[in-house]
Amino acid sequence: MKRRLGWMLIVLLFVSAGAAVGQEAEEAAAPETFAAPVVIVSVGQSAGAQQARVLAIRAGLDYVFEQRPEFSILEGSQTLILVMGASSKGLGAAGVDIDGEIAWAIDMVARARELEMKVIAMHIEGGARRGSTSDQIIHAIAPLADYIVVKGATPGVEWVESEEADANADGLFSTIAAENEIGITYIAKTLDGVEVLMDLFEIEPTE
Amino acid sequence: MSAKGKTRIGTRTGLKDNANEKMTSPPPTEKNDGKGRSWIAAGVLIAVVAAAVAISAREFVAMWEDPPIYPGPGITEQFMLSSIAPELAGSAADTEVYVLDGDSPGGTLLILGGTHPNEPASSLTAITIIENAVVNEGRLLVIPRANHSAFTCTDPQEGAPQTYVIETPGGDRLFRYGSRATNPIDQWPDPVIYVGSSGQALAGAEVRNLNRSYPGDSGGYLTEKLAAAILDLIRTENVDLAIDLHEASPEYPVINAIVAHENALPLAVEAALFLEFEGIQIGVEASPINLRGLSHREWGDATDTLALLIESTNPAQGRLRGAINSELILEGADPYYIRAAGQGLLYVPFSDAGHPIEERVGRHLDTIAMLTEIYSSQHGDQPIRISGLPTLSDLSVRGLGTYLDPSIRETDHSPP
Repeated sequence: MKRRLGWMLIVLLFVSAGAAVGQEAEEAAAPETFAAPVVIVSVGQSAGAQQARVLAIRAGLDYVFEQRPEFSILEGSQTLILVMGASSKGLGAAGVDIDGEIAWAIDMVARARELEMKVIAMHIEGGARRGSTSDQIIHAIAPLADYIVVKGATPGVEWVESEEADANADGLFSTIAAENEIGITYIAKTLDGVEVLMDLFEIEPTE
Repeated sequence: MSAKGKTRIGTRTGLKDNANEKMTSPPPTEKNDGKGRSWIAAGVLIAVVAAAVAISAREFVAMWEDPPIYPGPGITEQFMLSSIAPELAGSAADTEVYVLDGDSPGGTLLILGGTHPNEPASSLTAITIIENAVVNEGRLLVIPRANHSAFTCTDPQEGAPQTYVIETPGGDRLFRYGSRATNPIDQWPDPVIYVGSSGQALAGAEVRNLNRSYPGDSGGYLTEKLAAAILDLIRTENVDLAIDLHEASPEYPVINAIVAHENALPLAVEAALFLEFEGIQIGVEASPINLRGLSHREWGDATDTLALLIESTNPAQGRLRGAINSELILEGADPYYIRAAGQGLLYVPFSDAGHPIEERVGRHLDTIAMLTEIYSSQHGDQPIRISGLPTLSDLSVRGLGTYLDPSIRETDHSPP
């Protein structure tokens, strides 16, 4: 009898341990979620932030958009979306250089953290929006985010879209996500970002 | 020393002294004198030079002749820009405006081709529209040779051909390959620094660049008069949406893109998102507010029109290319650009396939179609609906020449 009880205890222990491990794995696999209201801004002054705005509208997200706002815009919001992509015309029009733009974005993230906001970094203009200046932004900003959304190839998966559309051809975003343990979603077309936003913000599709 | 002695010395020493040689000539006679031969030689020389001048002059003057455009079934009216800007009358800057009226009212779209005649997809797109489009709702204005004067010359030291030929089912058709800027014989001299009507200071040669001359000046340089006339057209015709067609070299960052005035930015962004689903990657750039004189800035600032500029890929206007010839202009293939692409120096992919004219015109046409579709969905009371235009896919399969075939214009579609 004592022997049987002993076996039962051992089995019970294994079952509970297994359940605990399973639960932990499930938590790890659970998609990261974010809360609205959202602030969408540009880092690099390309039109990518305008595209993100269209995605937000189509996803039914509660958002405010400003290309390069004052930090006060963050107050009362839950999530900051930084849309990365450098445009020399855009930076020139804003009257800032790339170093100033990056410094501004880092300060913006710091202020968002003070307000206990989550941060998403997006790059949705594809490979055409890669280059030395855009890469400076990506290296500086993407590691600060809680989540990354990129239009580009998933590692190990054949890219069937055009070469211009792949912002992750060199694995830059995959590397940043892995090194900094940041969740990442790869999209093939910019409009696929609508579904990603709906998932991240747990928005139910409307009829 | 005798003359003979001098001759011998000259012969032995390799005729160092021409004077000595002359002395060996036979004494002049009435029938065979040196002056007679000189006159014949001079006459031949003059005849050769005169022939060369005549041939060159013929070639030169031929550049002033416009290759024909065959109005298609949708053309309802045609007028010269000088009819709204009399200061252009009789000048090389005066140019044709084609009108396509829809069956029902709606918005008005202006398509500008040929701002820079060394960017051939621009004027070819406009001509394809003129010869094929039918407007169902709204109104379409098309200027195929916006800087007409710039079609009458090529850029110095570029070695560009004056013309190129597109094969059509009805035979070869000739088109003019022109310059980026107004012909200097029509506007000269250039200032050292050009401070445009917009106030933007530029290099002097830009005084002849139409897309640096907006908003223009009806009393200014010829190119500024032209710019002012185009802006007057936008105002008088109440143009809702205005698109300036261009091309860019593969090493230029603003390429395969829509450049949009801030008023038109949401429209451009949405169009780009949907074009991606049709296999067209096109970027969007906001028109810089501090870069003056360009169509996408000044049209939008000076009027209520939604101002856009579209760029495709043209290696013939780049700096890394080989010789400019018809093949490069039309097929857009160049080994040096392939090497440059391998070194990561370009802003577009570049392979053996090049960037043929069908791709470039097709991208422009599909982008225009998408912009008008989205515009119409956003402005339900002012729709612009166009049919009859080939798509990128059509052009890729059938070739551009199929849609520029003069022989299919059996019916006279000339405007009343």
